[in-house]
Amino acid sequence: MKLKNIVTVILLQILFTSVSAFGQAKEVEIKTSAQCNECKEIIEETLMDMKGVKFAELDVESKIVKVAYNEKKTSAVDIKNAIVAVGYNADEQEADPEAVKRLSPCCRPDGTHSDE
Amino acid sequence: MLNNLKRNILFFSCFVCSTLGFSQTTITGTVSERSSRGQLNALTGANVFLLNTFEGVSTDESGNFSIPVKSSLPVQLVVSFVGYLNDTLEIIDTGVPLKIILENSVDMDEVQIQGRRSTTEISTIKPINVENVGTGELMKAACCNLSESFETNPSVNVSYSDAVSGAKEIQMLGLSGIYSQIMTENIPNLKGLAAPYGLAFIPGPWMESIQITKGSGSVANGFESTTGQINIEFLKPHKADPTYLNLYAGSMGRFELNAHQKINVSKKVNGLLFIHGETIDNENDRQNDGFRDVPRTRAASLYNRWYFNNGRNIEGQIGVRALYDSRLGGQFGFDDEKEPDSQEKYGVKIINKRLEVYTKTGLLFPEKPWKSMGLITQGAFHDLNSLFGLNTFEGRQDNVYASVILMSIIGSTDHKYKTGIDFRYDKFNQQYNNLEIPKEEIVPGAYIEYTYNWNEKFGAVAGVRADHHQDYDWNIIPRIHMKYNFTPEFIIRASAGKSFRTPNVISDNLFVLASSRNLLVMEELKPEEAWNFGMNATKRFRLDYREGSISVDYYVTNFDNQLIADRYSSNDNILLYNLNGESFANSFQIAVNYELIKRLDIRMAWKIDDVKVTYSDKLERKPLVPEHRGLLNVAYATKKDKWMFDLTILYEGDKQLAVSRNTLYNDSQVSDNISPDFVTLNAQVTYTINSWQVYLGAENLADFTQKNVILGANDPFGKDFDATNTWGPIIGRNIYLGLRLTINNKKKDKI
Repeated sequence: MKLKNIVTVILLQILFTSVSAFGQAKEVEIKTSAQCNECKEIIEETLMDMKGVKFAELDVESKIVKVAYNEKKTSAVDIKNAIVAVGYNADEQEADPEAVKRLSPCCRPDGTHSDE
Repeated sequence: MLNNLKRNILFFSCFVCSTLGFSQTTITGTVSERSSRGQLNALTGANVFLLNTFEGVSTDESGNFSIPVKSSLPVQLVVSFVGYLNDTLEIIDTGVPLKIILENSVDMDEVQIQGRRSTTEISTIKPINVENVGTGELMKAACCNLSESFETNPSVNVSYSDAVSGAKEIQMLGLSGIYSQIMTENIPNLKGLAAPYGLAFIPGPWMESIQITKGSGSVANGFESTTGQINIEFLKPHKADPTYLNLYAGSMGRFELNAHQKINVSKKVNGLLFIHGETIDNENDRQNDGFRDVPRTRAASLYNRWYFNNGRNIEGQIGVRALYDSRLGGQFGFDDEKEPDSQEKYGVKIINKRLEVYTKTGLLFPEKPWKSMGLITQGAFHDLNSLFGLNTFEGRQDNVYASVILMSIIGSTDHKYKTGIDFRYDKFNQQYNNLEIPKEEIVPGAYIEYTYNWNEKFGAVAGVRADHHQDYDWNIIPRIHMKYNFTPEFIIRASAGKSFRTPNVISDNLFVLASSRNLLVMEELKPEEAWNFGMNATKRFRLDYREGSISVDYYVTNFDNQLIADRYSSNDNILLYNLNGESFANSFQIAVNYELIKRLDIRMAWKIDDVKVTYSDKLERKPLVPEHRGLLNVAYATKKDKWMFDLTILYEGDKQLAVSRNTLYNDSQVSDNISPDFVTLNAQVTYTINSWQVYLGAENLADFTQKNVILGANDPFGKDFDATNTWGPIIGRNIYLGLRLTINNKKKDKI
């Protein structure tokens, strides 16, 4: 019975620490040049692997990626740079031409794969 | 799947509506797909049909179609093609030719798999409460077979059935595994003689996923599932990695090899060959009782499966599984070459041999994609030879199963039905010591199951089946499952259903052989009948941008009749009789899954089982079932899953031991025949480099074991001998190391 109580306390503690650990995330929306699901995956994965990024979701139709991040750990500039570095435009910034060459055909800007 | 229809509603600019009235009009258009390079390719042979009239056509070589419409507009037009997602269009005008682009379903699946997704999922769509345990979750339990794959799952619990045979049994909703129906790819399997050791017969690396259904399940699979269904999906020839190898070595002297190889004959025929080999050599005697903790084991199995299709309307599968499993346990010094009664040592020797052959044939109707027919056949032949001291049980079971299924819709895909007839034949030749127990069962049956879907909010599956048993006449089994989605993330389900089962007296209670007590059948035994009622609420949430879910279950099983194995009322015997009074199992479970911090998932669950049975007019706790259980699983993965860490903490509450009422279980850990509660810990680290994966782990890390597992161990042939009270871990810490090699051809453009 004692053990049971200990386990319960540990479980509750874990739950509450998570709730209190909420950082105030900042959200930003960035228009990209993503055009298919593969692009969506590349961008989301790249951003999620960045330090400080909590959440990234790209809507292929509008090409807008919604990013939530911790201001203390990263910035909108860094996020845009990361998108550019994997081969996509980020708002006014143009994609890194070298990175574009590495993309698969369906993700390249000259590919006819636009989801209208 | 038709119920996944995306309802694209297209409005075509309509100059002047020229199509009023009932005059016959024609819808024309083209169907195409988009290649991975983005070009449009016409699809030949795609099915185009009108939802209400079922009139259909196929597209020609240029992807064109033209379909006459006799009814008034609007009509719903469905476009489908194998390998693509179906599309439904609402047509309000026929003036403009349609341009329909189908999305590749293979691509869609891939995206889902790539995304970060929980390895165990409870559906928030289906009316039936099904939990899917995917490959990721199966890899967490690195060792080794089906019985061990539930370690990180709160719904199914696993324990040793006795202290000498190494057999493990599962419990679901507080009841023993014989009350859950085990299926391999939806074919009922591992029943009767295969049940006591069956969970060890399915190697983990062969499995693609496991579906755990709580509650009575679908009538299509038979009349037997009382507490639920466990369905095992094996790797499929068209999806599996071409070559795979897994090696495992554990400090308990266990070595395993698992491998599979894909065999591509042509586009239409492909196969997969699995092999498994296992040895356990362990001279440990942790309890110092002179008995092996783990039997010396030699096991091998083979599985070869084939898929074929004619590219149009016929799909088929055929598979053969064969296995040999031999265990030698008991006292050190037992010589298995000599006659057991010519020596002083107590020996345990169990040999299982099994052969299974199955076929599945599916007939599709290209003009009617919602309709299909299937034929399933299986033959299973099992030999079990067991020796426990001087007790012997030998048996042979021949099992034949055949089933014909028809699936279709009534009017629209909101009303679906499944109906079929099936046939079961079981022949047992069994000998328990000197007693012959033959048994033959011929059970033909028929069922119908109707699935209703309203607005993706409300859904119901109602089914009824009738089976004829040569001794028990007709049996009617009704079952119903319902769901309501308050939001797409919040679902409530309810289910009620009956089950029927003819017990197989010895194999259902095979543990008894590991004790000096005898089985005593008190009266003519009747089949078991039970009702199961359940409720489930599942809510998915997003907290601080990360996903989680919380799920609460309450299931009640009430037996109308049960075969009672009474271990309380007699010192010398285990009494077998029909239930006279109440027998129930109430099971409550709460489970929370959440990504606590980035890439760190936790799962917490607590379960309360209240299981009571009337034993000789007294309602008592069922032995060896804990009232409380807890599970905490923490999993962390670094970027791209390079490193994966996994920790599981399991809590098991106290249990009533299975000794007679006037006996005291003699063990320092046990007081008043109640075992103590305990915690076990499992941990694993996996490192991935290219096609290689190396994993290192430990089971029972805290090294907690039951001290006295065998009563009367110093006189195994005496009247106090009993090895059936395994309330806790028998073996201590087990450190293991494993290796996986996956050879995967780079994914090319798909059709």
